[in-house]
Amino acid sequence: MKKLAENQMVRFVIRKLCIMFLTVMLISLAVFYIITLPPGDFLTRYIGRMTAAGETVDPVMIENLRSQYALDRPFIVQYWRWVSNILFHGDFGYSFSLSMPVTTVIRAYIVPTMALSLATMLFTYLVSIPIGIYSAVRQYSVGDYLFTTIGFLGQAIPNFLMAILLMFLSFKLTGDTMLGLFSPGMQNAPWSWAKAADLLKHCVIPVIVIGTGNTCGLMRTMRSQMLDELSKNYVMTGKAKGMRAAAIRYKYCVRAAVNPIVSSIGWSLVGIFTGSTITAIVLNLPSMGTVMYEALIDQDMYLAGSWLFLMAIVTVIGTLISDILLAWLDPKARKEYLKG
Amino acid sequence: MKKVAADSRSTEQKKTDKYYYASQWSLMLRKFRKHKLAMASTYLLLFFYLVAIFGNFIAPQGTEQYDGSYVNCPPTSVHWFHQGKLVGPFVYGITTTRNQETFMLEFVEDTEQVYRIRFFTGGAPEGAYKLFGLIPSNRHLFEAEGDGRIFLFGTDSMGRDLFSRVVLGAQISLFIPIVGMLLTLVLGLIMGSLAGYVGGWVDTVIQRLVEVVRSFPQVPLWMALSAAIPKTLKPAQVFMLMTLILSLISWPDLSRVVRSKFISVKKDDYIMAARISGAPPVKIITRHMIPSFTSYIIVNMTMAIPGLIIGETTLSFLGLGLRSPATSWGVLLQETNKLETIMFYGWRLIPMLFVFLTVLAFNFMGDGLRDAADPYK
Amino acid sequence: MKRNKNLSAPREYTMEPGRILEVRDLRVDIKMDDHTLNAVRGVNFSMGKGETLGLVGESGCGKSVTSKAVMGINPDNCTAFGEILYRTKSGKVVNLLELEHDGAEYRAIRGAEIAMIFQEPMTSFSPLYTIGNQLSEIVLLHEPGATKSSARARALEMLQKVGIANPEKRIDQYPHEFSGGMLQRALIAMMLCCDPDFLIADEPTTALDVTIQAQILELMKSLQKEFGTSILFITHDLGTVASMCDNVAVMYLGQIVEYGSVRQIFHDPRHPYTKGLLRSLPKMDQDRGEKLYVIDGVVPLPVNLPPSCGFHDRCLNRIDGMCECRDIETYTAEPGHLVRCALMEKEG
Repeated sequence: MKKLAENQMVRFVIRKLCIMFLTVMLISLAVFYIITLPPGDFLTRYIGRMTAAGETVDPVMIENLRSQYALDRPFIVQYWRWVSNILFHGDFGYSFSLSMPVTTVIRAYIVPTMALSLATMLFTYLVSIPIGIYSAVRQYSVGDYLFTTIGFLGQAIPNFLMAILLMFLSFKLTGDTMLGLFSPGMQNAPWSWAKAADLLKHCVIPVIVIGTGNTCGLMRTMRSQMLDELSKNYVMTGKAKGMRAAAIRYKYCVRAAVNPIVSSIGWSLVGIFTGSTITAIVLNLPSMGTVMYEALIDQDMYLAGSWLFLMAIVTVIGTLISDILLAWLDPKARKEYLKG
Repeated sequence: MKKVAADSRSTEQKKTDKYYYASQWSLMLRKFRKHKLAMASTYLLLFFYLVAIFGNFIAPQGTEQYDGSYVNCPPTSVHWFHQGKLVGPFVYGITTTRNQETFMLEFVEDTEQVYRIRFFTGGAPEGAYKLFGLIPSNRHLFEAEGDGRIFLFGTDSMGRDLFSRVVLGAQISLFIPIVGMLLTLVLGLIMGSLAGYVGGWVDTVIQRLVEVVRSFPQVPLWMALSAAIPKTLKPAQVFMLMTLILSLISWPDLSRVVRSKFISVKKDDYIMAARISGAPPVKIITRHMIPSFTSYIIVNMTMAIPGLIIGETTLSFLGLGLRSPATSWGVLLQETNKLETIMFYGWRLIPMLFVFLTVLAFNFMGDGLRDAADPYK
Repeated sequence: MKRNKNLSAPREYTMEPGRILEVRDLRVDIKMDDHTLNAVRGVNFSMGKGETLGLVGESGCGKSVTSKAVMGINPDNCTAFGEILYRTKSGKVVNLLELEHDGAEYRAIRGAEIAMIFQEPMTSFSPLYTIGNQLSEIVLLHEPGATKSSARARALEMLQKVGIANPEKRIDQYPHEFSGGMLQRALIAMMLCCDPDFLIADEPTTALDVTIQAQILELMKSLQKEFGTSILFITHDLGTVASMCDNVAVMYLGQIVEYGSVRQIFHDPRHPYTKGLLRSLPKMDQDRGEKLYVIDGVVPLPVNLPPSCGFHDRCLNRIDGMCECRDIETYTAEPGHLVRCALMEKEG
């Protein structure tokens, strides 16, 4: 019995993976199309920029690059070259604005980006779920109105505005705008408690800015989910059984209300990952967002495209995680998934 | 006999009867009206849109007018009393001095010079602007007489009147989301109803497409696509491309909603009845199915607008969307993305207030609509 | 209905021996957005041990609200006044309306002494836990010495008793794997786990197929015989009443308009509303093509009703100048047969 369910689960995951692969291939096609969108190929632009800067361009290197990326061949051949480079060599192309392989750039920035995203996510869930529950249970209380108002305001302020505002406030109050992840003096200092504290201090604004939108959204979702569950018939059954109202709430309602939210962790990670882009740009954080932005401004399409591609893959993986979580948490969804 | 019975009932009862036997739409209106915040938001938005429509008349300056002698001038205050006497609304003259320590221009009111504010004046040259893009006119809502200057929200680093730019920027910032939403609506409805009504392989293809588009994180895709907009295009073309980009990314959500509604409604008896009586599919879709969830779609679309506003503002803010001299609230904010602007010229953040209010108002309106859409709850 | 308004110093209550429940002048108000519904407007009835009372009426007549007031599970916007006396297993008489809804005393009664089964079995279980989990829970709540395994054994036994085939397998399944009829059986099993004295059945068969309805009713009858439970049976189906109940109370617009034994109500109805209800039943000997009888008009909303008979504007035997002008008293037509109708006064 149990074994059978496990087998079904494995089959479910495998099927999902196959669909995922197909989706990723379609995505890569779209990404490569975007890469080639700006007029002229990137080498021509590169040469143009180099000569404009008064530097000499090595024709041999240019020729090598041209054949390496198949730039003189049709779109589909270029695309295949790009994809196969990624698939077989882990080579995402060359960033001409930074003059280094894209892989190197990504490796340098992925850790701070992930760290920031995870910290934000933790903040988001720890704040929004308890508040959502509280608001639903004490519907129309002063606290509920307060949180609902904050939720509305938080969702209405675009991230970059909030970043500017907090920067402004921080400057007015402390005389420091808290830009970057470290104070200027700390940037290259060896690791110490002081440096860690400095890092934490600089994380406050980004985490709030990146997290607020999501937190407010999640808070409202949690509240309405919870209200929905509280009005269901099984609550009445629970009361008729002699259960305490609080016990019904926590055993049945919260669990049911949290399910869709927990299972959306995959998506919400992506949201935070990419939502941090603009904040990072405004606050000048050393994250992928900033790099992507500069790449886009410079039309350094390999770098920008790779980043877009990575984000899309993260989304697909996030969706997979969410689907699996949902199947694991909700018996009904599990049955439907396993069946077909 | 029944008539007598009806009369014997109190007016109080008739009121409640009316509530219980009213039609769905009038119930929704009634419920929406009770949502005070939503009503207030609706009026605020109406006001904003009216101002935007009559923008060229209301804004004292055009987008391209500037005055090098009033760079980064703080907001001018409007006075009523001069030396204890009521003069009506007027402004004082402004004298500029350069601070010898910071080398910054400083603006001081010259309380000797009084410039009354004139309304509906035609100080500008004939045909200075075209109202609604059609009617040539040179009248503005208000102007300071003579050499007086009036900058309600101050000026920017090129000496352009920020109030005028906010008003004229509203024309773009408020209408991009509407156009984008309409495009989204058309795309979403067509794709969603095809997938939901036809089903089969059409559904599979559309679902796959939806999945691919949804797999792209929204913000980076917006950024990447707008970065590809050639910088040489005219503002109007950029405007169209931006709405296209915004709606290309947001239609899948709507199409999913429409699809699932279609699938659930398709099995209802009244659709079956329509089909058996030989109604053509297009008629079934437009006459019976879509009306059954119109309210739902309206709510969804209203809730989508704030995202589109934020999208446009963000992209322009990042310099990836519209660029100066085209004016939108995002463009105005882009110029504040420098520390010294925030530190010394706080009034330059005023456009932020309008983005905020608009988004908030749309959110409240959407919320009110959502509550009203389910009047029996 | 958080706490009821008529709280005063704890009183001693007495009830005739042999009685298990007595409802005295029960009123329930439901606060809506901009008006208050007087859902129950002065209801009196009592029930003996082992008795089955049918509470009949159209939807919105207040029968569900009445039963939920006994259970203490009406939503927060409801307020109840009056007295609901109940004799506990220990023999003490309590006024349920004086108990705190979520308090220990009321909770000890709910589920263990008074149980309730609901209209929609499909939504009455939480979809997230197995049937076994939800059945054991009630045992663990009310029996101090119960362990997980003893509670599970009890759940299994009860599932078997309500006729669920293959209970060892079924007990670990989730509600969505059960059919509606099966779930109703499981719900009955759950509610009988702690051997309650009093069971409220709120239209337990309405959401089920006709064949399943009969099975469930049979099951309830046989279980009642086995456990000796008193049942308050709420329904709008007169046929069910005739087969299930000892006594019947007919409700209209928040009041009981007629009360009597099944024989009295079905063979000698006195109230025009009851007569109308009975006439609107399809009969076996009815002529083909003959239309079913319909009571004209609609039920008015119970908002600010003037003192009058609630049924006056639909009544065929209305006495002008009486029915619409004042409240009507309850008359005794014959022993045990009560009628709330002005016609009774005229007859004397």
